[in-house]
Amino acid sequence: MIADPLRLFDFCMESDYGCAVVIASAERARDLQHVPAYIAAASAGAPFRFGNALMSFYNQPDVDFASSGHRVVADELYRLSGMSISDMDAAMVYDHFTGMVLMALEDFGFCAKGEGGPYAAAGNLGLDGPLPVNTHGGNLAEAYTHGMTHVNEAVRQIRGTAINQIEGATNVLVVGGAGPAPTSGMILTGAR
Amino acid sequence: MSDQMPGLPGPAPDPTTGGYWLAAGRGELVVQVCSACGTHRHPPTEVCYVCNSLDWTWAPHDGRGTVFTYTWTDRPVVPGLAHLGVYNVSVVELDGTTGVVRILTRVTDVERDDLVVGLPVEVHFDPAGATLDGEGVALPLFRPRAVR
Repeated sequence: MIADPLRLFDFCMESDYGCAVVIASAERARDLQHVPAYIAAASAGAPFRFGNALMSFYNQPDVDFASSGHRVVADELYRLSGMSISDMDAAMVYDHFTGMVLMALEDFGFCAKGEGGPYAAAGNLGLDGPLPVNTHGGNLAEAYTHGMTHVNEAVRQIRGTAINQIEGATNVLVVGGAGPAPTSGMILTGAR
Repeated sequence: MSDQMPGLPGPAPDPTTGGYWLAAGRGELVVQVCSACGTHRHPPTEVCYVCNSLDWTWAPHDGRGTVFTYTWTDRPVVPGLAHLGVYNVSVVELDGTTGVVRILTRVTDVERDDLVVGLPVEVHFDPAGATLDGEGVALPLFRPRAVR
């Protein structure tokens, strides 16, 4: 036990790393040699009083207390993209701590508040489950890249070049920086 | 540093937070209150999150509240906490405020199995040295209280 209820493997490791994401207009991307993933929606923000710059997290409103702070980001991503949870083929969720993944999945509506644990334990996040999560290993099992490789993995899934490829992956949710305000997120898609 | 946490830096009072630490040094708990709308808030800030007023003062509080949440830390985050052994980090919600006021603190005089959400607690103070002007400062801590 490190800090109840978190144990050693509930924490990500510290890593040196380097990776990049190239963003171009859709028109330009069509002429490049790699298959593009399109940004269907992107959002950054946090609910009112969420985190208060971390120093006053303990006074945030009850509705967001046990959350990753993505409630308003989730609403905006679904609104901007016109998609819903049933459209998502996978999710790459910032996972510096295991608990934040569960709470992010709750914020994005994949399960009810407080049900993240049972939802994960039931196998829903596995490669053969309805919502494969962090097929690259994430911060916990690949490297602590502050979420950047989550973007790369979403692009690989859409291109069909991932090591743990999900057959026919088209729409992938990318969830950034869980916990501090502002949080962020993206929906990437292969459909155009 | 404080009596209970000699290896850690003590509070550094500034124009916004100073009244809180200095009151604690006198053995009193105070909470910032908006002069315009009466909302209590913590930690001390310059602007009211309800009405945006810049006018505020300190309101005395009897130091009673309940445990809102907690964790037990089995490994000290810094060496200065090592002598505490396994210690808790707790959030206490104060009774009787206008708007929710929660304080990040530690509950003392409690066994691991006895610290639960909703536990009634009362404030006490951990002396934490003095300012350059010689005024004492302290950390508000909490301990279980009997409920009549």
